[in-house]
Amino acid sequence: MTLDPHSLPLDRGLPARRFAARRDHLVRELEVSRGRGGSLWGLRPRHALVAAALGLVAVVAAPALGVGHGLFGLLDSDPRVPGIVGNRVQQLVSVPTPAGEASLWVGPTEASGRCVFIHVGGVANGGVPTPNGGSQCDIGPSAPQTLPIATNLTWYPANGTFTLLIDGHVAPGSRITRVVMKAGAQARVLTLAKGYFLADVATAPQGQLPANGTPYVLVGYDKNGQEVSRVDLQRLAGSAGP
Amino acid sequence: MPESSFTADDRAVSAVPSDDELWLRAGRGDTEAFAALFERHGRSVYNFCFRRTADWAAAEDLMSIVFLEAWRQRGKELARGMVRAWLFGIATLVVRNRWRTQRRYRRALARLPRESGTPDFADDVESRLADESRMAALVEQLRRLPKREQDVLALCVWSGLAYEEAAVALGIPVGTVRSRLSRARNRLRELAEASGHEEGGALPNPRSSQ
Repeated sequence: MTLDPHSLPLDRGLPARRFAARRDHLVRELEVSRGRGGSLWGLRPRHALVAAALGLVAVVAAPALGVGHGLFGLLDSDPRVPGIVGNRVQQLVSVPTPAGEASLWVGPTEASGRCVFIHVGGVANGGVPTPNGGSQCDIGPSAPQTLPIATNLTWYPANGTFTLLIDGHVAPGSRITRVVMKAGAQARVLTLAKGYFLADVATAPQGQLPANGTPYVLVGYDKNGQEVSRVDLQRLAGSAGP
Repeated sequence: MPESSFTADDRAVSAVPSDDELWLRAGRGDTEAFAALFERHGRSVYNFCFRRTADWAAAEDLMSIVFLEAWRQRGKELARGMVRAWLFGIATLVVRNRWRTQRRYRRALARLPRESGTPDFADDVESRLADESRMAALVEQLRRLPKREQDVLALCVWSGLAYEEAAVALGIPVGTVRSRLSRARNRLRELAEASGHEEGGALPNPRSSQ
């Protein structure tokens, strides 16, 4: 057959009724996605891979950060698969993010360990959240946390870029009663729930802090307002990023 | 044109929101503005998808997916006048990753109401089948080109995008669009000659916005 790339079939449209049906369907789907906080129809496979890779990096770095002395888990972290006792997970903190509501959950494992994970998006009433924002688990009994503030960074896909989440835990013996996130001249007190916290830092390129050059630090204070510990997010990003 | 000759119809035309304006509104969550973009560009995206797949039914679903995907990225800032080009860029990726994207959106597509009564295509079902057969042969021929040259050809020649628009759609420099198109033309010429056929007419030049 002769190559004749401009002998194309004529342009065609969909019949009006059919086109209108597609339009209406599109609008309905957009409304549905908006109801989910702008997020979509599932985590994109590539982003899921990125999240898995970040999780793996976090796992490797976990002992150095004082969290996750056992295995953890992106690969087996779904509370509905063996490991976490799904019906005993508890929500700790919840914050709005550009990707939807993000919440931090904790649940026991079947071997007396503990899993902490982030879920982004809504959870049906009585439903079990999935660790779609990453997780860290100790399979067996947890070792004591060695750092006053143990932290994790997560870059979650949102609106074509990423939103940077920080979560962590304050060691019980650290005397810290208040955790403040400082970005330049701004400061934000983070909600602590059983020593855990979660915050949406800002939109940021994957694996990096926001490109505005502002230094981000997390500061833990005791009940007298004395600084007990400080975490430089830039350094943390350098160890957690891809 | 003197101001006195400015008619009411002209004013009506100028009141139609531009693609840029609609995109901006969509970025703020205005679904009707986004639906207006669909009404404006759905047909050309549909035809583009058909030309890449030679399958009208698949093109219909892919058209929907292109717009669902565009909505997902509605926060993206686009260069002025490049909404259509960007939609074609998404369409190129959606078609290229056809199976993956269809799987990703299968739930959304499953919510499309099933048709009832006489099929809409009853009148032209034969000609649509003929289109598919003819397009399948063309697509098969085009597969002899590297994918990136196929993309440029499909955008510039089949869909009439300007070099600058194709550059935005594919995320490559304008010069690269020109060189890929030039290579595609040469390859097509060589393939035609090698097959012992007369070379088809010259491929039309894309528009240039410069």
